[in-house]
Amino acid sequence: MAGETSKVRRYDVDFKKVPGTLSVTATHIAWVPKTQGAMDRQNQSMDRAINMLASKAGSKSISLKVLFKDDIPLGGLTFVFSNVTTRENDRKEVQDILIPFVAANKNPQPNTATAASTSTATAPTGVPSTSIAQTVSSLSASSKRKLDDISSPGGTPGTPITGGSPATLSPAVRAQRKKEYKLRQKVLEKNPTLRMLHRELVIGKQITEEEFWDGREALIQAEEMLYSQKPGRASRLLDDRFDLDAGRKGKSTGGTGVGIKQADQNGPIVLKLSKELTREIFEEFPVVQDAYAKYVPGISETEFWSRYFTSQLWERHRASVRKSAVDESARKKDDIFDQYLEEPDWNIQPRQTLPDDVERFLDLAATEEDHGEAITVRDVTMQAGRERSALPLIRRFNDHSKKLLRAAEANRDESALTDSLYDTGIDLYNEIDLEDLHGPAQENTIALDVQEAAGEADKQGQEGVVGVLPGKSDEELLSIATESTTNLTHFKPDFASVCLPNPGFHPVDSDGTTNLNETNPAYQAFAEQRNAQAAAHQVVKDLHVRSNAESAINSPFPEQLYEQMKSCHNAATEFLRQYWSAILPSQAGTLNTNVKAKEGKAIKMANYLRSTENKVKAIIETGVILGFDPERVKKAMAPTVGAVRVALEREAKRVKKP
Amino acid sequence: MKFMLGDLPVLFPYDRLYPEQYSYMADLKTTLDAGGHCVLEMPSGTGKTVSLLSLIVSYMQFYPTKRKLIYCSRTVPEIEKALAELKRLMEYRAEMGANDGEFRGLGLTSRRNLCLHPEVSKEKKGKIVDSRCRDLTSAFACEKGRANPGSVPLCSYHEELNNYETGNLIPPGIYTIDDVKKYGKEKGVCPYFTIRRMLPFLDVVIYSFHYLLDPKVAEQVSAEMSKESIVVFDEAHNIDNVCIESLSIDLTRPMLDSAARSVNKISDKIAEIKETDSQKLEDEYKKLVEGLQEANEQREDEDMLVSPVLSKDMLDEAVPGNIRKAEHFIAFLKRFIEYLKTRMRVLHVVAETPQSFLAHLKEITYIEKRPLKFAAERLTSLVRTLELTNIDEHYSLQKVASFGTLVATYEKGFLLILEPYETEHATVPNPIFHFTCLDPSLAIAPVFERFSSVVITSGTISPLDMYPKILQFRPVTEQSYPMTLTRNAFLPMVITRGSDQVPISSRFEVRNDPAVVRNFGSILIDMAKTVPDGVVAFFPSYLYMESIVSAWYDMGILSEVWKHKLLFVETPDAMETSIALRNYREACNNGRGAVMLSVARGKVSEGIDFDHNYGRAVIMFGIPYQYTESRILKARLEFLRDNHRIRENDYLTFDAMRHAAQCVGRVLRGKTDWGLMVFADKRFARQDKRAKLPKWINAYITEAHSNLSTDVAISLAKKFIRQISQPFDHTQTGISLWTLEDIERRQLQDREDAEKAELELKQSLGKNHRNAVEDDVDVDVDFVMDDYDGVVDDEELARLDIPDDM
Repeated sequence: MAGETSKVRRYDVDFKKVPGTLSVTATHIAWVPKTQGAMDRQNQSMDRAINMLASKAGSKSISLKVLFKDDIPLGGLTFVFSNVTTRENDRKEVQDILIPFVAANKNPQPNTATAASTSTATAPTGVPSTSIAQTVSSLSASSKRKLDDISSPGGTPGTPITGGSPATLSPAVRAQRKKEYKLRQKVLEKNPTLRMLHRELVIGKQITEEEFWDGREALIQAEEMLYSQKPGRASRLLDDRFDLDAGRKGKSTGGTGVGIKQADQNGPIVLKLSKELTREIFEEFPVVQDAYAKYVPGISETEFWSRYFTSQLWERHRASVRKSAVDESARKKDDIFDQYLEEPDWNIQPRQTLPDDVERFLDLAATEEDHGEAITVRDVTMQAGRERSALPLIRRFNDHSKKLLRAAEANRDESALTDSLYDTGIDLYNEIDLEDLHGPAQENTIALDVQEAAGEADKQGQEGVVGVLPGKSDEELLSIATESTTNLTHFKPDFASVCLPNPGFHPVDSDGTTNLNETNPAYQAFAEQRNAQAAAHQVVKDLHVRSNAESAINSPFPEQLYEQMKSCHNAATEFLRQYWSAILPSQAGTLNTNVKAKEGKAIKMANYLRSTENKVKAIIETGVILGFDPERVKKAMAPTVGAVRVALEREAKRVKKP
Repeated sequence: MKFMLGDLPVLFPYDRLYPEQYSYMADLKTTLDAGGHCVLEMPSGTGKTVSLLSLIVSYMQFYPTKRKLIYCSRTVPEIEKALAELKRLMEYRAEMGANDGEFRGLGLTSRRNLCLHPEVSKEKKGKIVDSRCRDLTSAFACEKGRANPGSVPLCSYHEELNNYETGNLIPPGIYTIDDVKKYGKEKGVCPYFTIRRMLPFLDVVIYSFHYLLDPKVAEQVSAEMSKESIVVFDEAHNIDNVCIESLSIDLTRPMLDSAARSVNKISDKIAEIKETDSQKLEDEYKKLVEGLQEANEQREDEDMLVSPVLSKDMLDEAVPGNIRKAEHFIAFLKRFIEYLKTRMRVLHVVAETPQSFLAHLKEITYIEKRPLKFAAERLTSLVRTLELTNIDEHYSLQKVASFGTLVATYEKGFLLILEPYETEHATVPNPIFHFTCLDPSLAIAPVFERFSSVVITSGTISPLDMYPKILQFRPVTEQSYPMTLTRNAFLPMVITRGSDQVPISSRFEVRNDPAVVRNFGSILIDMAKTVPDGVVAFFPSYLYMESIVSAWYDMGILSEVWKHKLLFVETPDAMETSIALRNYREACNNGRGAVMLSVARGKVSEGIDFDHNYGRAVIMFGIPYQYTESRILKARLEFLRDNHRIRENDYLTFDAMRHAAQCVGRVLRGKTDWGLMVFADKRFARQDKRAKLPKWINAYITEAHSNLSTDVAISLAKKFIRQISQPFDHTQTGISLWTLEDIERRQLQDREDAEKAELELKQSLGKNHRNAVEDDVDVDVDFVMDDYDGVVDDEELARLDIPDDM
């Protein structure tokens, strides 16, 4: 072996029994035969390595089998280390280099634990290596599919990262991909139709994972938003949950702490305190935390809490007007908590220090000080803060709401918020803007790519109607007009020509029969009309029967056939979607490479679409075999076929154009 | 857009226009052309301020007379918004190529809101800021400080202003209050004095009502405003109360004690000055012989020391001899304070006229009316002569002196009320001596007299005839505009009973009934459950809100609300409430949703908007009637009945309804905005109550929605929210949104109508023209009298000396 210092490490290795050199760089692993042309060179990017298997310790040859993504090359590469003196160390070194890659490719989260354990294991027996191989392979079993999905589509090696150096793939990117994968899986789980389509197209290797999700970002995003939501703190006031009545029926209950406090029949009151709850108590009442920190090693935790809950401090913390007066006498003196007792915050001025300034448009204090102090006293109902006992409660509400709000966005500090609102004048404009008074904004349209647009425009110009009757001279128009006028003035209604004459009165013969004169022309006309009506009636009836028959419920498609049709239709729809999105004009400013990729995709999709017709034919054939009316299958598939045809015609024109 | 109103080109900073805005501007222009006053009611949230400003600025800039605009608003947030509105308008005008040259617009507020001085600005109370500022900037302090640097602390921001040219302290443009502060910080100049000294040079000045109505401020600030100025009172629905407040004064026991201490302190100071610099007092005495007004020549730094009476009622004559000497004046004040203290020991309610008070005063203390009239100004002169600092210590004394001056100056329309107990049930006396003004027209009269065009406008100023009556003026135009809507953007509902059919009301007798409290609570719960984002609820008084919040909490109602939304409550402290409001808005923005509980007529109900997601529903719990047991209110009602023939109930309902309407109107801004308006009180179902709501709200309360139970109302609300949330094309124009073409079409139609009318008139006149002329001679007398009857002035009738026994 040579060149330890350089980045490239070389080892003597046999590959398929041909001696050669295995060189390992930061990104690639390559094998070159010692004799020229004896064997193909092997060169693989390490970020494709997904597994490695080492021969057992003590076996004759020291070998290492490396498997790659998508099983290309087939069966992986098996290297046999041939340098008799150093082969075990050689293999270990190669393994050490490969481990991070394999681990990363298997499981996008950097698996430092495994890596660490291997690096510390120094035994040259190869046992640790095998154990790694085992863990690695067991991992691979569970995450194989995952890898398939994440890995670049269609087996093109490492698509998203081929350009750069794969080894530099940061953990952040990996984490991102893992997250995305998870999201995709969730979307599919939720959406059975999509899952079916996915199974057919992606797992059926018709299109790649990336292509499938292209254009469906909104779904992923929605899922992500759902996924990223975490349950927040319960918004109910803490002490409210300690109410003994909380669990009772008919009372309004809620919050997470229902039933924390339970009274056994006449027995002692039992409190169930969870860690979560104590944390909330500390958060809500920092003095309790203070006391806890000071005294708890001294007194037991149980004692601490039981004393707290029977102390006056607790009663004060509940901030409610109720009961406290009644209970006051029952409360014991408590040397720990009583020192934290303080006057309730019930003065007009809050005890808490307030910032000096708020946004001017919310600044109520400014108004109070705008024109000196009011020299009149408001009537007794309008003096704020007269109900002193309510003030601490009100302040706690505001404070609690604020805490909940802050808990939701713990990483955003308050000062940043104020600055952003305060310093810019734009916010104030926002406050006064009437948005509907602005004219409609310029729409972001994509120009329609009309073929032979110029020709169309010309045609339209010619068609444009000019004058009353185009192509007639004024004299002609005049004569038409005069003719019409004379026609109108000399109009004489000729009712006989439009209306049947009355057959007339027929004298009755002496024998009582009506003397129907068959030869009477009026009668003949009448008979004709009657017959014609009868015939028309017949026709209408016929039509009616037929239309009824048409809308009658047909026998359902056989399950097998129906499945095929559905799958064919789904696939075609997805191809169409892909195709149309691929030929959509790119937004200005997109990269050229992107345009090329789109072009390639369009052609690929067109190819897929071309096969649709054959598929439909096959389905019809199946229908024939199953003894089902092929016409109905054809009709059912007609819209799909039509849509595909339109796309293909479009494609033909598009390809011809340049 | 730019459009023509007659010959006036109007630049409006949007592409579209609401029809109401067009009519509003047209009426405004008519008023300005005619040179009179007007009362205009424009629905809330339809861009009143922007229409007003763009028309008036166009008007000012187009006609060569160059009138000024004095724009008064209620609260600092509203002033700031109006300034922003103006700033944006001017930006738009510049964009459109209007050459506005040296156009300047500023807003004035108190020192407390503008101060940059590192220490003074830390003070929370405006009174103390004013006083400390005076110590650093008063003429005598400056004089000393400049002559001998370091001997007296001066304010560097104030000193820096001297380096600027008068009338050009700040570059042309529009500055919001925050802008001026920022500018001041950059240049190291005092924002307050920059604005104060620029006032005569401004084209637009925006400040609160008080700067024009309250004699204590107006004299100093607004005296120099040109008579040609256009005066606008925006959000003027409460203007009568501002007028009354500005001429009223209340004294309490602690105040008298503090005043007594001040008198002693000043007396010590006089003794001290007498020994060191008796010349000063001599000089003052001489000046006072000349007359007070000369002695107190106007000085900008002394604006906390001015007379509390209107300038026309001020005396320009020699100060009576018995208070000319400082010691005599101090003795005079001592006697007066002692007298007031004695009066306050009385344990029953006393109501008396100023005359009777003065008579009694004279009887006991020999204090005459005339010297008492001078009390406030004489004190000012003394404070100045003694070069007192920290005058906030003497605030109470000032108030007592003002009280004396007011009592001695005004007779008609005022009443003195002594209330020994705060409430009926109180046992510990806490006496308050009210000197209360009953006639709002007194304070505003000088404004109507002085300025040719006064515009009184608001979203809720119904019934329109009320204001001219109680403020005693004749408007040229009185108009209320309906709201044009392409879809019903708001749903007013009157809930009269709970789901259990128990009627709900904030009537005093039932408001604390558990069933009513619970039903009010269930409305809140259901609304919090149903409505997205923000819900605002208003209570009729602080007292009621504070008691109901505790009750709700104990009933577990608030726990239910917590499940759906965060809860914020208005507190007595303004800053604390502002913080709560900010958090409320944040919760509305991030989707958490919140409920804000506040009080009608309270701090939040005025000046804070709850548009869009900040208020999808507003609930008015009960009718915000004033506290009818208040003696001041009773006196005022009596005054209204006797002088304007307004019945007590009519006024009370009018007053309650304007505040209710004001509260619910806060939820709308623009026509894409939507919101629910819930009136929860069975009394709202009555036609006489609802009739007093502004037309634009009342028109949308259908009979079916005017008597609902909670459950039905909630299902209606759900339906409404579902419907309103459907995508809707807000760009369609013609009905509630006009483009330039729509305006022109309307104008054309108006012109045609006018021509047609003229033609008809001419035709009908032409036919009978000769008859008409002849008829003119012997007009049907009865007819004329009939017509005249409606406008006979009450005063004129009163003056007719009708024998009593008739």
